[in-house]
Amino acid sequence: MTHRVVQVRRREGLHARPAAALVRIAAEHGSPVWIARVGDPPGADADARSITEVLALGIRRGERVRIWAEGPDADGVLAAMDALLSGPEPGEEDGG
Amino acid sequence: MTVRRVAAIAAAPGRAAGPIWLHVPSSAPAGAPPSVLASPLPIRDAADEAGHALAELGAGLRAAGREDEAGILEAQAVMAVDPSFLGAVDRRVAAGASPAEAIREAASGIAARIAASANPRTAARASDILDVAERIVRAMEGTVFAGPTRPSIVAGRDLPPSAVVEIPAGLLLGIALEEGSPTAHVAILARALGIPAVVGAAGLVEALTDVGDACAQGSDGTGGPFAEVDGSAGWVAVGTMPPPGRRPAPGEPAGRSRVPARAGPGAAPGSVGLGATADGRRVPLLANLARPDDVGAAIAAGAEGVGLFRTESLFLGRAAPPTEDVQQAAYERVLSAMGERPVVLRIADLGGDRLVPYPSGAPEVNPGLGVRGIRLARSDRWLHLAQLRAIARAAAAAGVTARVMAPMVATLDDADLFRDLCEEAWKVAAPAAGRPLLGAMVEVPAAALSADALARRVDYLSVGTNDLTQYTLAADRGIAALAALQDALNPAVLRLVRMAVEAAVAAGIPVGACGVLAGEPDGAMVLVGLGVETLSMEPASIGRVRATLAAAGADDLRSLAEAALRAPDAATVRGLATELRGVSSSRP
Repeated sequence: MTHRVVQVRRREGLHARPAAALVRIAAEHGSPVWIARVGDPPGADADARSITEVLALGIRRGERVRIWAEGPDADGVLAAMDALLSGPEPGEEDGG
Repeated sequence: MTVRRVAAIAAAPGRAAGPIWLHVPSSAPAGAPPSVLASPLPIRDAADEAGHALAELGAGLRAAGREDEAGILEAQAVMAVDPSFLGAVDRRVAAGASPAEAIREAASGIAARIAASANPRTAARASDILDVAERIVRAMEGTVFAGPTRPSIVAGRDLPPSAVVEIPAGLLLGIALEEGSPTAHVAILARALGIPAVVGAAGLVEALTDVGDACAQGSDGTGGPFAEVDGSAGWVAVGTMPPPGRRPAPGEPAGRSRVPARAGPGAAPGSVGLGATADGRRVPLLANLARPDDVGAAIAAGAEGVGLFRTESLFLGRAAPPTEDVQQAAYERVLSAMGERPVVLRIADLGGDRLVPYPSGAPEVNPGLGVRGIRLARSDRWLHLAQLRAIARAAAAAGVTARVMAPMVATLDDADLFRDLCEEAWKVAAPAAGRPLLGAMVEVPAAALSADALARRVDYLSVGTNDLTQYTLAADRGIAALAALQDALNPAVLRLVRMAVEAAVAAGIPVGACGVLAGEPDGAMVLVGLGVETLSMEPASIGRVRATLAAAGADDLRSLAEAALRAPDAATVRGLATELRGVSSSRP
């Protein structure tokens, strides 16, 4: 299992559309992928393949999340999720 | 002809008028039965079908260059086949629910969780899953969305976002909804498609019912229910269909109006919905439970959780404390009944006026200032340790994070003692479970005065206004002659509440209020204005407080609270609050 911590930089956090994109990335990966807000108690993690669980986390801009995955391409799926979470919205200038 | 004008929130600009087509959630059918399209489908196939249909609607919008709106429907397509959602549906079917019930209940549970999430943008998406659920049910039952058959103003409590794209262009003249917010997907889609829309039209459904009862509709629509929507100014007028050439008088400027709470499909008005101010600031409304049996009333009142379960009821009137097994069963019942909604269990607040024979100790002249609440644990660790072990096991069995709270915290040492007790109990009873979230009651003035340090030691604060008032004003709650000193709206009490709120905000932890004040309209307004984030009250008060908050803007409440802090006495504060309520309710 491999993991990384990512700061969410999308303007409005992990709302419906980026969540759907995240779930698509996770679902293409054959093995489990998880996401949790850094600092939340154990058990508050979400199955990254479930949009309803990801939305219920209510991740806001600037918050840090931990993502972790199993399986042979765990690094690849985490890199793709990292790019989605830490990048600005499409067409959006990131103001920092 | 009478025309009733209802103030609303402008959601999509433009003006439109036409006959009303009333949208009712399909779980509460009214009017024509939905037409049968195809043979019924199993749940998974229906979910796939709904997902495909939503993806196609999204692709259509994307092809038309409306990428943002396409994204909404594409996210719904992902929700339709969500493994967590479908798993919850399966569990409910296995427990004996019908497939349609299972789909709707699972969606409601998820919607409640999403609505409670920390990201307001996400919370506004809660109704999307309910929309998806109705679509799956329709696919399963082989019915289609029953939309208008002639150009109409579509009105109702709420409207699924996908309906906006599904109703053929030309038949959807305008939208008027009692619920929702301008950031709801239905509003975003209406703006994208250029359909005038208003949301948050409090009293609209009642007005529609009155109009519907009063008119005998002609075949051309004349005499039938009629509406005019102004999605720029923010109002909707309903009446009977005027003769050609006449229109209802134009509306007046909108002013601030109400965003009532969102109701689930088929729910009775007032019985469900989320607490929020008129401009959409969420204030979760929680229930106080005195007994485990009260949980039914809490759910019926639409409580978004339990903010205070007074567990001492299990201990009173007995010769010995209940066994851990008996306690665990009682706690588990409440936790299971509330499901994903949070439940705060306050450890038994014994002593004081709650006399039980077993905590031993010398009789006290002034028990309100005696060995009660967390203070008991200094001499009798076993009582609260056993209770905490029972709570730990109950939470583990119910699969939820335990939230426990200590009463009568006066010093930082009290908070540390409580944490030690919890650690000890969890180590024994539920070592594998996540650690509990610990809360401190702020009901002793010393706790409010040292709230900054206290807030760094616990996970949340809950202001107990009843005791905070009696201790701040040194006025025994039981002495009627001191009634004037027992009003929790006393500005001195409110200043202590403010200190607790500021400390919680600085520490980044939630702060709520429980006690009689939170369940009074005046008190709820002042508390929310002070920055209290959740209100916990008797279940019977929830509906009234929900309606009060829905009619008030967050800025108005903040101004009210500022004035209350400077007011000379409680009576002046009540006057200010009552005045603001009068202004809110007399708005058109």
